Amino acid sequence: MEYGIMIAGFGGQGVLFTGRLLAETALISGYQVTWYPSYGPEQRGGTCHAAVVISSEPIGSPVVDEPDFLLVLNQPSWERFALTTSKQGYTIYNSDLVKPASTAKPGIPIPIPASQIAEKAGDARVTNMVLFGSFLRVCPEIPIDHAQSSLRALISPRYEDLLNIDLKCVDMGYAFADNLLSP
Amino acid sequence: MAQSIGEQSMGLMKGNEAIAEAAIRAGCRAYFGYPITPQNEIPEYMAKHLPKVGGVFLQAESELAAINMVYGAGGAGVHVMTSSSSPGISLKQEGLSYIACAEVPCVVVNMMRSGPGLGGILPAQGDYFQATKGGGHGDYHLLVLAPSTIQEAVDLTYEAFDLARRYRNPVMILGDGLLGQMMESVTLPQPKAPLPKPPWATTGCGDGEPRVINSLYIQGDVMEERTKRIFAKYAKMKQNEIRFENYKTDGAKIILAAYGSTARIAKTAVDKARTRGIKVGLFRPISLYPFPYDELSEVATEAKAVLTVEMSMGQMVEDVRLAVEGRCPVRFYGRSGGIVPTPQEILQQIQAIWSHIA
Amino acid sequence: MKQVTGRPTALTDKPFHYCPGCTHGIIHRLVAEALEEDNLRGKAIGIASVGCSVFAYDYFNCDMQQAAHGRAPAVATGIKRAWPDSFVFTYQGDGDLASIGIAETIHAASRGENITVIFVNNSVYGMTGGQMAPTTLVGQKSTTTPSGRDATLHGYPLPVCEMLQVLPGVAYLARVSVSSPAKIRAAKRAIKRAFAAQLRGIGFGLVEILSSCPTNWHLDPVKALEFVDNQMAAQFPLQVFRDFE
Repeated sequence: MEYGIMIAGFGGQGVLFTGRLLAETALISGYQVTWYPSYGPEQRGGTCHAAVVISSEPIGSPVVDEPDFLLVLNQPSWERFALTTSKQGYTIYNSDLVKPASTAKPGIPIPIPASQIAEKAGDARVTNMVLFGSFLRVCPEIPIDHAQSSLRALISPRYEDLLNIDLKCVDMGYAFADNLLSP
Repeated sequence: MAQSIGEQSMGLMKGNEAIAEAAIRAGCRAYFGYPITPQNEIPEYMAKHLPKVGGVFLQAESELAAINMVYGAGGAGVHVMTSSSSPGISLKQEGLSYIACAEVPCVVVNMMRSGPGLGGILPAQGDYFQATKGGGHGDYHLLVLAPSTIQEAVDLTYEAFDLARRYRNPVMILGDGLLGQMMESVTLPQPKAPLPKPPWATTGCGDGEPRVINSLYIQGDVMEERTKRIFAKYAKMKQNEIRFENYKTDGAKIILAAYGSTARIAKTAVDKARTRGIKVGLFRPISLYPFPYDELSEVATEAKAVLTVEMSMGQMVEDVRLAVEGRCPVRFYGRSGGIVPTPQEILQQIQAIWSHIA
Repeated sequence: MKQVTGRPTALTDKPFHYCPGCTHGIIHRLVAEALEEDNLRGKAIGIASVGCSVFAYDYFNCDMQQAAHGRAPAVATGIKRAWPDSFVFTYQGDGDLASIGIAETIHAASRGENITVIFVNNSVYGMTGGQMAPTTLVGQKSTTTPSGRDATLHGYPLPVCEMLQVLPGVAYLARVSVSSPAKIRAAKRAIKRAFAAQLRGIGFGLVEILSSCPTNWHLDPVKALEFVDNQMAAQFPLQVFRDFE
């Protein structure tokens, strides 16, 4: 098994953190992992992205050119990456911010009203954790309880309020995707 | 994975930080540097952690000053390191020439970015010539090691200080922005105590004979002797320090040649091509100086074509051609400017060659 | 018969290569005497620079490193930071220190590096044949200012001590000359004072020593010393710029 996952959005939307969380979670789930951030001029205002590869074998390329999972947090990232998703891959996007304009099929689209869900969870900005929760629903190799313990490990206990919102967003994102995919 | 005593599984680490930690564990006790992207995590890590083991961190006023501080501390017998990225490494070349001639051990990390000029901060491999052919003025080489994973970067950095001391020559760890910025899980080696002060080091001679660290030999015959002495060490390196990896090269009709980050991308392309029935393998030089000419020559003997892949306009390909000696065509595929080739792009190159030879 | 003087133990017995009438020899001796009198030879590391004093590693009888042009303070920094208990001095000319190495000089001073810089100012590039230095006087002829230094074309002489005196990292800063026995004694006092600043760990010490270059000035040794006294000292006044308790 090897998956390439791309997470893309504006700097400040928690793109790199989401990638890091995914990488740490995959690691404790027993996989090999690479995490490669965009560190170029994109960090300063433009789109920013993180490529994560998880594999049961040693990893060659840390570059993800045809993601099996794409998490899209803003419109420019849709424009840039949506068409790269592999045919059987999932494009999970915040349907509150992203208007899919292209007629091409970006893998299997999973529209998630992440801003609305995050607002209900307590902070409309935490759309990254909502999409991450939805991702966990379509990537059963990464158990949600591992993701929860990685979150607890990555976020300092000093920010317990934030941690609780993050955990709630992950749960709600997971549940929304579950509803969406249930027959 | 079984761990020996003192090894430490660290989970995910950034390449730059892993290199810095490996250096400290190898006994590095002095670091001099100057900020430049994409290697800033190295000085930042050193600033935080080197003083905890009694080491010295100093941010120099320039790359010139930094490499000359390295020369001073290395001449005084301390395990010393600097790091930079391409434009900064250019500025260090004068110092490296002096250091090589004066036979001062040190470790230099170059996390390459795109060039020429100020270029960009994205990954590139355009400093291959500079790293392997001397770089500064005069007849000398660095011992150049090119890791392709963070674990390998840790292992080579850990060894680099011993190699520098053994050969009394600068050792360069040649990586790029991708290796420096990415994260991967690593196991760190056991911390080593620094080697004792060598007898040639300028630490104050007490009642003994004064020591001189020098690269000035004004008489031609004396300078020639000095140069021969340095090149005798390079001959020893060629015997003992050639490193490389063969990946699926048995029976391969196409041999990819790539190093560092590009090699791991090429590996994925090899795997993809193999599932399509293409007989392709990868030869990965790990020591770039000394270059594994004979070893590459051997795997190329049965091949119909060699494809060199680099993040440059074609530099290592010249050494590949020297190794292959015209026995089969040597093709080149490169990206530059900071663009990282994808496995898919490399696969297309492999398929194009395969369609001619199969 | 009683021997009243001799070669300082901090000098080797290698004959100097300096030109007749050059005052590098006097300055070498003063540094060596100061090393010997303070019992520093065994823990000293000297840094030779590029220029006439490039062979200083042959003359000082202590551990030595030879540095690239202008980089002596950086090399000294590396050694001193590695071994804070050692005694580290550089010996540099005006081309090395004030031109190509002015950045290293200023930053070592600004950091308050505990090193001692012996700065020999003879207002020309001696080793390469008498070209203009940053310290060449206005009107002074050199091989690259054949009609004399013209401030509108070549700028003004660089006053190193006056520039460094504003830096808080400097513990001791003086300009001296070696043009008479009295001045030689004063120069030695300044060198020992700069050494004391390092030994007491209170910061950067620099002694600028006005020196003569009869060969490139095309003057006989006596006239050359008069040039130091009359022309150079007018531009570069002898003075203690910074001292400590």
